[in-house]
Formats: sequence, C-alpha cells, structure tokens
Amino acid sequence: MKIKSGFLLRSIAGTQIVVPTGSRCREFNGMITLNDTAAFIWKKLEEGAAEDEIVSAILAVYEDVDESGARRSVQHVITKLREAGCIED
Amino acid sequence: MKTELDKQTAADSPRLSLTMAELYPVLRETIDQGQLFRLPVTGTSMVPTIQGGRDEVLIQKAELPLKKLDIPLYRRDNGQFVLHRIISVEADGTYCCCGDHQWIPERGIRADQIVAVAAIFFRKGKQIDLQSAGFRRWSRIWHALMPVRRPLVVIYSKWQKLFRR
Repeated sequence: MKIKSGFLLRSIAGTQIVVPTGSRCREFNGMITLNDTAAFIWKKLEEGAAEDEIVSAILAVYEDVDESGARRSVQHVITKLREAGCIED
Repeated sequence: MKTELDKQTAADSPRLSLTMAELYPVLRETIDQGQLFRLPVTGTSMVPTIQGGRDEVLIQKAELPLKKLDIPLYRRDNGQFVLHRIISVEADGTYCCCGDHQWIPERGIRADQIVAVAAIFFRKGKQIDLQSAGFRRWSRIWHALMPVRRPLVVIYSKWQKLFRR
C-alpha cells in the first residue's frame, strides 16, 4: 500500500496541500488539503510505511495521543485517501 | 488528536481559498519539471469555451514564441494571473490577448509575463485536447466571429438562463 506517483505535497500559506501533477492530473480533479497530522501520515505512506509503522511513528512524535487514537487517525486518513483515489495496493 | 483531510474540486473553488499567488510556487515547480499542472478556472472571461466554477484547465510549460489562438496563463504587471487567448502576435514580439467572452483586446503582453500555456480543458467534466482538430476549428470560428462577439455573448447568456434547471 502506497501513495500513487504524481502527487505533490507542499505547504502553501500555512496549509498542507496535495496537488496532482503530470499524467496524474488528467484523472484526479481538484486538490487535497491536510492538517499537520494528516500530512505526517501522508509522508509516511509516501515512504511506503505500513499501518503499524505509522502508528508507532505517531506515538514517537506526538505526546497527546494513545495507541488506539493514533490507529483511528491512521485508518481514517487511509480510508479517505483510498476514496479519493490516491492509494494503490 | 484530530486528522483533517479534505478533497476539493473546481466546483468548491469558493471554499478553496488559495490565491494564485499562493499556488504559484507549486505551479512553477511542476511546470519547470515539464509536467502538467491542474488549475481550477475562475471567472467568466473565457465563456463559452470554459467557465469558472465548473471547468478546469491543465497547463504546461510554454514553448516560446506562442502562436495566435494559443491560450496562455500570464501575469499582469499588477500581479494578477490571467488565462486569455492570443488574438495576434505583434511585430515587436509582444502578444495581444483577449478572453473569449470579451471584445476589448489587451495589448503588449511580453514573453517574460507568460507563465504557462493551456494544454487540456476539462469542460463539463469532458477532456478536450487543445491541439485536437475539433478544438482548433472551434477556436478559428469563435475568433472569426469576434466582430459580432458582443451580441453573440448576450444571446449565449440568455440561452443559458433559459435552459438553467
């Protein structure tokens, strides 16, 4: 499971935003805005990290979250990105 | 911990409060790599060819000099970004541009103001290649009708209102 090629995550005016580039923009309309946590998960997915790895990475970086909360967030983001067509298996 | 993630399309452009100036660095980066960049259209100056809030345009690096009837994205000296059609190339190499919904040309657009050029439109969700014979024919016809564009535009907008659900 990873992010499809052709997506670019950039910070614009304080907002994390994903835009399609190249041939990806023929099929993907619009852009995605992410908050910092969602962007963190996006970057991990880009590196090819699996769900468990991302949960551990969140627990290592964010102090105000327990494992079940982190897992819920990761699953939420993955589901939404799958719906949007950004993830390939 | 809250995760927020939101996909927005051209139809959401009022929600998507990014300005062109904010989007410009990403656009520049993509274009310079020789890649296409997808841009939601705003405004009505290119109606009936494309319409703000409904259509999108894929832009790419401009191979200069551009030709008559090309549709570049250029930056006015006041910072505004505009996607209009070239209606003539002047002897000094500058371009004279005009929106398909307009009849007053804008003269003296310099090569250094050209950001990119339109390659593909998504009009009502349908993909249109600007180099296709059909689109080129449409461009020539609409351009030839420029002397009577003003009444045509009025008729077109009345027609649209009449058939609006």
